[in-house]
Amino acid sequence: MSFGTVIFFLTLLGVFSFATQLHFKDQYKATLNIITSEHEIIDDVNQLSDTYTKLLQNINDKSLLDEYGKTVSKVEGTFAALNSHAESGTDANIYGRIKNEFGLQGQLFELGISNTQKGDFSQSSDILDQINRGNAGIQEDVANLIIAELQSAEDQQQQIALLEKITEIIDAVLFLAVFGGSIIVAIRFSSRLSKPLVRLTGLAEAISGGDSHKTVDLDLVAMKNEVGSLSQSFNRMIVNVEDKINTRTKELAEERSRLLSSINSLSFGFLIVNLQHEIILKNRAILELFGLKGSDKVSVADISKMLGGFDIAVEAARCLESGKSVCEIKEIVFQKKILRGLVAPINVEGDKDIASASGSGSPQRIGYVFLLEDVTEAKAMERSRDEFFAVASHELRTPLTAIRGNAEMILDSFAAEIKNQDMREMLTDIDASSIRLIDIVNDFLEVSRLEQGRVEIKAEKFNLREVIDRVVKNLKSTTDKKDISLEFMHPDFPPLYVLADRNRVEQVLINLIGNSIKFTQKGGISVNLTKQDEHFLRVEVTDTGLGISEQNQSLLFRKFQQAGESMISRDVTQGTGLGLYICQKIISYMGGSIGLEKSELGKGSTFAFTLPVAS
Amino acid sequence: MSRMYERAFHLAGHEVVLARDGAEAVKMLNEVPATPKAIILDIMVPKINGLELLHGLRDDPRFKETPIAVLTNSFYKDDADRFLAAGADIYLVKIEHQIKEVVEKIEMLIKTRHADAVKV
Repeated sequence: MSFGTVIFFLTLLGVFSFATQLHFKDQYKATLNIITSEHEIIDDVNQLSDTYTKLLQNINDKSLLDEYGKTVSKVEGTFAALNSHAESGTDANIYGRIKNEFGLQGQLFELGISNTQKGDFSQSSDILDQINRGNAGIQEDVANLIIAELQSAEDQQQQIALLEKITEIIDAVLFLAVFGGSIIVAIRFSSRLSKPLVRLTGLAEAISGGDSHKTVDLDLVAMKNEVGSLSQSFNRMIVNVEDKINTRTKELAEERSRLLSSINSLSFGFLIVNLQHEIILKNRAILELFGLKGSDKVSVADISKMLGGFDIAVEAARCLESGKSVCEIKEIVFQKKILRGLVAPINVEGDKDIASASGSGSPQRIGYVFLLEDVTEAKAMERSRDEFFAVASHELRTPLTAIRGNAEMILDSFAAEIKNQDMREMLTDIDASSIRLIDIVNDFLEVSRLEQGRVEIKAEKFNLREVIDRVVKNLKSTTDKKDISLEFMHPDFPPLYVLADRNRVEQVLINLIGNSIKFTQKGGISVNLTKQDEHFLRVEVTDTGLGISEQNQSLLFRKFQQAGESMISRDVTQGTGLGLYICQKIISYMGGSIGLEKSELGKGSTFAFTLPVAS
Repeated sequence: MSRMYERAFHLAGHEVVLARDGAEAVKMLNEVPATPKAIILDIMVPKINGLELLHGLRDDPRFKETPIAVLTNSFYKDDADRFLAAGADIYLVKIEHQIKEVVEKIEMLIKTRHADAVKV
C-alpha cells in the first residue's frame, strides 16, 4: 500500500469522523432542546394547575381564563413540536398518553369551570383533585422522558468526546503525514531533478575533458520538464561546439601545415623546445645537419653532445634569464662546419583574461626556439674578404711607403739639385698623394680591424681635460694657418677621470676637430667638456663651418660617407669617408656614444661624444 | 725598400751594412770587426724569422747591449708587443713615419744608449 493511499484513507477517516461528530452534536443539541421543551411542559402544566385554582376562586376573572387558554395552546404547541421529533415508538406512545391525559384535563377544566359558573360546587373538589392528579401524572411522564433524554444526551456527549479525540488524533497523524510526506515528496522530487542534472554535469565534464562526441541521452531529452529543455539546449550546444571545434581544428591543421612546410624549407636548423628542454619540433635542416631520420628520438642533450659538448640547455637558460628576445650564440664548430646559434624565447602574449587569472600580466613563457645556421661558407667568405683586405692593405703599404719615403728624401736631401719648378711641384704632388693614399689604406685597415674586433681597446684611467688640452695644442698650428680660432673651454668642475683608451680618445678628438677644421673657413672651433650625468662625461666640438644638410645627417656615421655637397665638389685630398665610422666604433667599444648634436647649413655643426667616468 | 732606408741613413752620415735575409745578417754580424751602433731589422725577413733573429742577437753577448730597432710594415699590432718583449728597443711601423722621423728616432736611441753606457 502506497503512502498516498494511506494518506487518502486517513483523510477519509478524518472527514468521516468529523462528519459523525457533527451529526452527534446536532442530535445532542436536539436532545437538549427536547429536554428544555419537556421542562417547559412541566412548568406549563404547573401553571395550568395554579391558574385553575385561582379561577375557582375568581371565576369571573377573564384574564385568568385567557391565561389558562394561552398556556394550554402553548403546551399543545410544544407537544406538537415534540411529537414531530419523536423518534422511537416508546416516546410516541408516551407522548400519545400525555396528550390524552392533557385532553382529559381540558375536559375536566371545562366541566369544573362551567359547574363553578353555575354555582355548582359539588364536584369542584373532585374535579380539582382529578386535574391535580392528572397534571402530576403528566409531569411524571414528562420527567421520565427527561430522564431518558438526559441519558441519551450523556451518551451522545460521550460519543462526541470520543469522536473529537479520534479527529484530533487523525488530524495530528494527518499533519505529521502531510508534513513528513511533503518532505519525502520534496526529496523525491529534487532527486528526480538532481539525478539528470548530475548526469548532465558528468557529460559536461566529459566534453570539457575532450570527449566532444557525446550527447545527452534520449531519456533526458524526452523529459517534459526543465531537465528536458536543458538537455535539448545542451545537445544543440554540443553540436555548435563540435562545429566550432571542427572548424578551428581544420584552421589549426592548415596553419600547422603552412608553418611546418615553411620551417622545413628553412636552410637553417630549427628546433622548438619546451621549458623542460624537450624537443617539440625539429626541421629537415636539423635532420640533415646531424644525419638523423625523422623518426629518430633526439633530445636537446643528444644534440648538445653531437655538437661536442656545447650545451644548448645552458645557453638557452642563460638567454631566458637575460630577458632578451633573441640571443646569439657565437660560432659553434661542428664537423669542420661553423655554426651560428640563436635562441629565442617563446612567449604567449595570449588572452588578457588568462593572463590576469594566472595572476600576472606578463606573457607566459612556454619554451624557446633554437636556430642553427651553417655559416661555414659565409665565414669562409668573410675570412677571405678580411684576409684579402688585410693583405691587400699590407701589400699596398710597402710600395706606398717607398713612394712617400723617396719623394720626401728627394725633396729634403736633394732640394738644391731640383732646379726646375715644375719638377719640384710634381715631386710635391707625388709626396702629398702618397700621404693621402697611405691615410686611405690605414683607414681601411683600421675599419677592418675594428669590424673584426681585432683591436685592443685599453681601459685606462686618465684625465680627459689633459688629453683635450694636448690635442687642441697640437692642432693649433693648423687652425692658425687657416686663420680660424680653436678654443677649449675649461669646465667649471674639478678634473674628472674617465675610463677609456687614451690614444683612441685622442684619435677621435683629432678626427672630430680635424673635420671641423676642414670644413670651417671663417670663425672657429670650440671644444666643451661637460658632465652629462654622474656616469658620463661629454665632449662637444662645435664649429662655424659649412654645416650638414638634413639628408646627409643620417648618413654621417656610415661607411664611406662624407658630409658635404658631394665628393666631387670637395678637395679630393681630404678624408676617406671612414673617419666618423671609425670614431663611432671606437667610442662604442669604450662604452660611450657619439653623434651629431646639431647642424645647420652655412652656420656650422656640433658633434658630441660621451665617455664613462672612472669610478 | 731597404735600399731607401740604407740611403737615408747614409745621407744622414751613418755607415750602413745591408743584409738581404736573416742568414746573411747572421753571417755579416759574425764578420764585422766592430760592434754596430745599432741593428735595424724587419719582421718579415726571408730564411730566418725576424723574432728568431732577435732572440739570437740578444743571446749573443756581443749584441746584448746593442740598440736594436724593428722597422716593419706589419699590419698586426701584437707583433710590436712580441718584439719589444723579445728585447727590441724600438718598434717602428714604416708607413706611420716619415723617413726622416725614422732616422731621427734611431739616432736618438743610439744617443740615449750611449749616454746610459757612460753613466754605467
